[in-house]
Amino acid sequence: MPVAPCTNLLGIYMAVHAIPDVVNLTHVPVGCKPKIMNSMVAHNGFDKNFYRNRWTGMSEADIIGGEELRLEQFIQECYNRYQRPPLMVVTTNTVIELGVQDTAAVVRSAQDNVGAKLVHVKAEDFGGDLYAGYADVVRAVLTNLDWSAQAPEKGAVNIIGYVYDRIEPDHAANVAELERILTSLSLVANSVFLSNRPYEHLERAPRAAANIVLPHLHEKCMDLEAVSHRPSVLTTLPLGLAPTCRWMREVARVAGVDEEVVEEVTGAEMERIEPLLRYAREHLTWRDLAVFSDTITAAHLCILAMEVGMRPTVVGLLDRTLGGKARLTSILDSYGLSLPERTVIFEDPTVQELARFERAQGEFPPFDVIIRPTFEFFAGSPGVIETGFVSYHSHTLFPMPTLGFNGVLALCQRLLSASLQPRVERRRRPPHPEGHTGR
Amino acid sequence: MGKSEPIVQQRTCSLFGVANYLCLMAGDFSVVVHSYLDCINTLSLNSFLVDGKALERFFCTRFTEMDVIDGTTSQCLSEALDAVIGERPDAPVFVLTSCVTEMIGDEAAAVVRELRERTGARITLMRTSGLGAFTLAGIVDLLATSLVDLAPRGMRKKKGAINLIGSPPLAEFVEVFDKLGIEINRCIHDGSSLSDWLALPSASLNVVFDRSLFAGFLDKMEAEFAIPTLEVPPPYGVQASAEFYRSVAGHLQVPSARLRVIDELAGPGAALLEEGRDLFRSRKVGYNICSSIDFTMATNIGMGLVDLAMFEELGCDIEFLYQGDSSEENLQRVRDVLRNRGIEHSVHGFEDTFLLRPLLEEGRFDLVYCPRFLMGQVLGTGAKFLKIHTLQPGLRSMEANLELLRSALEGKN
Repeated sequence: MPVAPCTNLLGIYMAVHAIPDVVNLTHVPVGCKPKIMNSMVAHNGFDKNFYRNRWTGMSEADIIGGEELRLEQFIQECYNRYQRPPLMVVTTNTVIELGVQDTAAVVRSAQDNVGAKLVHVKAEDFGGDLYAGYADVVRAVLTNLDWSAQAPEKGAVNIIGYVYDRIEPDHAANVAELERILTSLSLVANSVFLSNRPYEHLERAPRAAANIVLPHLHEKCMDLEAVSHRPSVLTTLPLGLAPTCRWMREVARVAGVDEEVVEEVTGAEMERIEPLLRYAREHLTWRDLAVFSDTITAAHLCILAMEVGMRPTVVGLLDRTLGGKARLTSILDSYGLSLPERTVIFEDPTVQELARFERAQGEFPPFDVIIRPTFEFFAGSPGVIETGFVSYHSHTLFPMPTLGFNGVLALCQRLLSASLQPRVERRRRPPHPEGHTGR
Repeated sequence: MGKSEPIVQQRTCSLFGVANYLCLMAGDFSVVVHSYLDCINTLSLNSFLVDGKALERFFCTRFTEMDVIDGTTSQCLSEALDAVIGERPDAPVFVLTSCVTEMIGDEAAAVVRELRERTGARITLMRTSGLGAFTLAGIVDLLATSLVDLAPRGMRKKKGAINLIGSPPLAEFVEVFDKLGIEINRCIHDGSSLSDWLALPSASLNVVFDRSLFAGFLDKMEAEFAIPTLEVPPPYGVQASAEFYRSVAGHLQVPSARLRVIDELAGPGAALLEEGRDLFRSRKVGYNICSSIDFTMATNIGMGLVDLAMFEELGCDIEFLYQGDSSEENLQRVRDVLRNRGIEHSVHGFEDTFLLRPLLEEGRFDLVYCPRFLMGQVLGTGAKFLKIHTLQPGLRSMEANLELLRSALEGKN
């Protein structure tokens, strides 16, 4: 059993939840709803408003008998009940698609009778992961926009591919940080996909002169330039110091900002944070880190860790669609970094694999700090930073970004706090074999 | 859509439900979920409710689309079972099916039969799915019936010992029954271990609060283990709690002198109740039904209305707030279902969460007893919120329950 079994259906739900006025009509069997809700309610600490979601809750007889007419009626009812939302996402899953119903045709037919845009997203439940489902929704929204409706405005750029997995201040802080960086480059964040802002915010995307695509959406946005008729750049994830600097250069290049401006802004930011980072390095160097996250985020967390002298000793990649170990290595490689040779890497690990690994470590886990979502391994480990999906226990009361320069500081703050948590008595640490591997 | 019968509790996925219970259950066993990945997407959360590595016992066949097309899903199950049995040959194995395997007519039963014959392993197949046929009671009963199948036959019976089935493990029960001279063989709740379940046949009486929650299981206990069933009121509030103890004691012919222990506890409870009535009599309480799914056995007693008697005892003016098909026709059917259980309060319907607020109108209710996710709909209407099923059973809980209700009325929840 995989540690991270979520598939596309959850990602679709998550994406629609990040557009506050869009209605999600999920056409699935009865049993899918409580599972999705269980995770989403646990993950969202404060926002419990999941009422923009309707579930058809199909039984076996419904599926075998075909429910075309009733689905169409249901779409119509939802449109009226939710006071004419601007967009409705109709989600179907594998079980529904196994039935006799041609749901795509039903959605097309229903489109004639409702004023909202209807988007049909199929959840592939055999494999995939939540990132694929999330990307499918963003892709569907992007391709449904009328890119010729507005003339591009110089300096306005769209950010595409931010995974806004819950309505909490950590994500708001990340969006604010990216917008702050853009402002410092005299650019304007036009539309952010997705950012817990209403559909109107996304609908104005054609006003941007360029698209900046973050790595979680790279695969789905290869052809965005052709779709949007605007220059589109597939960028790095601005998590960590070097990646943030690189991201600024990538953005500046596509938006036509002078390199000198980038250098000036970067210089000012470095001047601000370098003394603080020095402090962080003093306390974090030679500390061992375990990271369990999706491939993209894990790679960048490793970069940040190495920038402050930490050693990633265990890396778990909790996705099935973002490239796995090969992409992890290639991202690190692009920064001239590599993981220590003894680092253990898990790709889409099973519960049993991790349990065996944990047992093999005895009472001394091979790390001082572990960054992970909610899972049952290393439960008694010393320094824990719970983040990513699903985070059952950790919720952010105060904006704490992970992206951009402020994200570097906020993450270092969390690493410092975690590393200071009472630790089990350990043998004296061996000297750092690779030396300091900072940026 | 997909609903034709009146329900006062949501129907849900029995795979999710049974897996949830198995996750909480201590013991050396394996669970093979015969599904694609998405069906197990939430199990990781459940493991946090227990100590240790609950999920390590879980396996998933993870069949692919090609397996479905080629008709090789059963082969996936066979291979998975071979591997699991090979690793832990003595541990019982539970196989849970899923929507897809049920729809395509996967031959899980034949695979299990063949494996049992070939290896001698104890494999239990549970036909689970999310295709709408299961009530919460049905899920509990499926689990209980499957587990008792594993219990050894011919176990020696302890005279006068009782099983408390579906009861929360309450210290008060142990104390009172001890003073009554009644041995509790096992108290079965969500966290009971496999060994607890397997030890059930050594009791002489099964005590349940709601027979319908364990219908098939109790039939089996009566027919195969000759253990009769005593149905008693759920012990919420003074009267029901005292009646619960008295019913069991009466059934087992406990000498009347020993019954003093019940009076000793019920006395202070009755005094508190009088105080509580002064505060709560005629208070308008909106009791929510059918908004959420809670697998806790104890709170599913009486179709989720386990603690209703407590509000009634306090003299509250109760109205049900039913989430679901709110056509007058369906609401009437819901009323009929409740009436059959002797419950006569009025029922109001709301189909979507955001439609609850208009129902509450300014000042219509003093208190709304509902899941936390509805809190936003309650606050600002003049009503106060109290999370559903937070009241506790037993006579000693009276003081804490009243305090909880009092602070809820003061808006402190």
